[in-house]
Amino acid sequence: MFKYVISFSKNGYIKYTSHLDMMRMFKRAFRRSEILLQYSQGFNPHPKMGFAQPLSLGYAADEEYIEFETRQEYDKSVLIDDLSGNMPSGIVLTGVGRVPDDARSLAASVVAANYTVYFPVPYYSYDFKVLVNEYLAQSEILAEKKQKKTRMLKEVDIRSKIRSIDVAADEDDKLKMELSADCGSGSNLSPELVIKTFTGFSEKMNCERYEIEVTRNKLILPGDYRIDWM
Amino acid sequence: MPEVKRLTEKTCYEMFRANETPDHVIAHCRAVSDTAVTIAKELNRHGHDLDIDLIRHAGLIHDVNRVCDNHETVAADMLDAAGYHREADIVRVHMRHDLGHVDSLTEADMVCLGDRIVKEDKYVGLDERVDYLIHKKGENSERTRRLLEKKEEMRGSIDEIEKCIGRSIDSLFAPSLDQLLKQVEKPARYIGGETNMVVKNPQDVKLRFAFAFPDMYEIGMSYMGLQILYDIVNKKDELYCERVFAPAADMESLMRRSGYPLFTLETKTPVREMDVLGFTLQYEMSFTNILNMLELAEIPLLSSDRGESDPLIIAGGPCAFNPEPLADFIDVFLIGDGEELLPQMLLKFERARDNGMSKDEFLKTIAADKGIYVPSFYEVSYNDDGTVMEYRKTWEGAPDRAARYIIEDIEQTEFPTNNLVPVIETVHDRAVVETFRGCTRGCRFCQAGMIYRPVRERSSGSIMKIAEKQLENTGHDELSILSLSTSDYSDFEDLTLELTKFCKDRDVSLSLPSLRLDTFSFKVLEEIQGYKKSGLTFAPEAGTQRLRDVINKGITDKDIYDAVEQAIELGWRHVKLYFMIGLPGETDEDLDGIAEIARNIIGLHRKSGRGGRFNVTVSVSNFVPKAHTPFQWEPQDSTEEFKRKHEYLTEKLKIKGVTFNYHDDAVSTCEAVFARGDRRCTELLLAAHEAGCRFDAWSEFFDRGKWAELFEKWSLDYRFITERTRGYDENLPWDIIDSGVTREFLISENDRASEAAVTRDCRYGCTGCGINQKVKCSQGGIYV
Repeated sequence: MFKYVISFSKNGYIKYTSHLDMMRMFKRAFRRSEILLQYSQGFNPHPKMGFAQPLSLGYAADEEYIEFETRQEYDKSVLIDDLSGNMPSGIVLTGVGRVPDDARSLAASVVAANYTVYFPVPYYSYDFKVLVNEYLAQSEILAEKKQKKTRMLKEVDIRSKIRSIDVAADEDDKLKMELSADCGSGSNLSPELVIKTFTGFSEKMNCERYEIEVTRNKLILPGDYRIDWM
Repeated sequence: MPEVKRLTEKTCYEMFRANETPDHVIAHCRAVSDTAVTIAKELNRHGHDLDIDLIRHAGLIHDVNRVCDNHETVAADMLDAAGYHREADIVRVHMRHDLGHVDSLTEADMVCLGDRIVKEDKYVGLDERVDYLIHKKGENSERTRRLLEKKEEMRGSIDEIEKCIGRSIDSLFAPSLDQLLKQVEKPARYIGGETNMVVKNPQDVKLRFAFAFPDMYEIGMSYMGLQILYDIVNKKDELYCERVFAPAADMESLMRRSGYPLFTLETKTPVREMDVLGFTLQYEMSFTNILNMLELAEIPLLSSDRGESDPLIIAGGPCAFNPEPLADFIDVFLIGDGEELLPQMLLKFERARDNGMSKDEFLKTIAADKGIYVPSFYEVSYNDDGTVMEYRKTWEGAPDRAARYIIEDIEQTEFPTNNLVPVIETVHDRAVVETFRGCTRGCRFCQAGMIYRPVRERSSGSIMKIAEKQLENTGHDELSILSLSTSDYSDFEDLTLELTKFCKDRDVSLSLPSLRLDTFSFKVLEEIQGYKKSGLTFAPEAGTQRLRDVINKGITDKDIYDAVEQAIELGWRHVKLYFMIGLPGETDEDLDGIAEIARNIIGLHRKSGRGGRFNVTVSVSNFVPKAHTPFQWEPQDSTEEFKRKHEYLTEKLKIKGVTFNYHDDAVSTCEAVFARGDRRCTELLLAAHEAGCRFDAWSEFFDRGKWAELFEKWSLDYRFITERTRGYDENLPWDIIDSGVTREFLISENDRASEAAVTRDCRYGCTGCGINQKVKCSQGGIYV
């Protein structure tokens, strides 16, 4: 068994592709690069390949992970160089590593994620620092969340899932929010709920959702998770 | 000298607080500051040297005392007292409307400009802002006059600035494509960037061509013709072929609202900046989308309204064989095989322009070329009875008829191996190899069977090579072969065995559409489908042997039942049957025949004793007579008659295990109007466009009521086109196109149809269609 992890970034228009689109894209890129993936057994075999976490359509990313198993051993030049040439523009492969055979899957291991959220409102340092502190000082932050089963909206408190928020000015003097939040199968918080509650929190956040850009900067793994980067 | 004191953001905010400036005023100040800074940065890029920070902070503080009388003076005095003299000077004059000369614009000018084109907290442009001021405090003619006067002054300055920065100020504040994409469904329809997309620097090519598919991305990307022409045109260094599709309704309304013009996927360039725009005409009900796309591209719809700076609008594909409904919208039609014709025409256009020729002069140089039809070189007159009187040439160099361009040997024609791989799911998303073009069967209703003659095959060697390369370059895991009738390839069995093995070795699934169901095919299907049996498909087209003889569909009851028996034996549980209704000479007995076949198939399953679930789907479409077929003179059933037949069949097909579905009757009527319509369709299409008709090929978008109203208002009775029997001596609008099949052949076939006389498959002996007078015809193919 040969288990690998590839890290990649996703920028530009390609960010408008969904999780399933990305799966198909990688599957085809592996085929074009003649990298033989291990297939599952059964009536409907599918390649053993998956992303550490789905990335919402419209989000850019600096470092995402895809884990996969191959039928034979490959070296870095195949897994990075050959595969890179077969990715659509906007996806850049940044590293590859081996994972021990018995490692927990990445998908089950990710605990948190860091995001940068760009709001097209002028940044005025004093105000926004105060605003964020007031936002975080709330005893609870209620957000409406669609329930998976019933599709009904339900109010949930997201405060405990927000790990930290920092604000700063970006190059254009617009508000840039650095958000760290729970992410993974244990506890998960969509940045959408933070955006919604934060923009609703103050009249100063005078912008529409479609003007806001989100980048996922990093997925956080437990300290002892071992990836042997090649 | 003491350093000049300068405002910072922090000071501004402290001042807002000290002066109790309301939040909405602060928001306005920010917007003005932002707007002024954006324009100033653009000016600096074009040779100016404006102090951006000064503009930002003066803009931010300018209305700090807006609630006071003479607020600009109050604020300026305060700033002066605090030592912020440069900002004070700007704030003091910010109510001005006259800017300095464009070459000597100051920071104060920038803040004034920003303040004039922002409404509350958003950029809106000068017009909307002034309009808002005029109506804000109630009408007052003196005030209005003054405002309009000032607006004109400001307009002059803005014109100067726009000239300097080389773009409109509006465009600096236009929503980005990103903002549009965030608001629509399936945004990846509009992003391009697929694997194997061709990237060229537009500056390095001589001519830019946009290939337009007048339907959504998912449909257009499934069409092999796009891949073929995209590949061939882009192989020429001097040409760049980009793609454009019809935006879905959500994207369209956003584009309209924000003035975002239709753009190409490759470079996101507005389509109107292309040199040539080409539409593929695959089905009549996409015509309304063509008009809509032209409008979204901001290109005049009618050829006669377009000028030298507009792109040349061309079109090709099966519907170009009756080009007349679109004759007033399209500059040039390309008739026939496009692989050589299209790049040749584009290169000629490029050279002509290089030589300083106008569009009209260019069209004259190509008008007589094979495959070219220039509608503007003919004027049509009509008889009192509404039929065509004559096609009078408006330029004597135009040919009597436009001849179809035929590639004699497709083996020598390039077929793509570097196919674009869509990033989102499309209707067909697989590797595809064309095995042959043309068909020998001679079904009398079938346009493709007539206009793609003669049969031209690709050798099995090439087919295998193309398949292999395509799979390598795309990473697809499905391969399909393309032709009008899979089993008619002259070396079918060998090719199929080879393909089956090839695909198995590579974990690729093989799809063989429209197989003739004989013992060999079943063997192959067993092999490639294994336990995953999809439905078995048959197209008897008509319910009785007599009517099948009328349409020359060479399939017998015995063929059907034998195949079904075998299928049941092999464990198939679903049979799908395709029929057409409204065929010439059809009676209710023929409809009864449809139900009979369905019932007999259910019976066969029962008799087999295999038990379990088993179902038959009967799918009925409505006959639409097409140009260049033996039935081109025949009437179509009325919408009401189709409806009656659907109801009749619904009753007859109430059989356990049988599912019945049928095509919309009104759509078929519409389709028939454009399939055999003449230039008087221009009026109808314009009215349909005006009424908002689009995506009419989609049942969920086709608006029956709207179309009924459009027909009602049309100066021509649509039944004249759909329900009338034409005489053999009548001039038909599409006679201007020479498909290569003779009129005599079509007449004799139509006469034989009325006697239910079968004409043999011409692979077994020439039936005299006339195509061999134009090109070499190898009848059955190259392996016979």
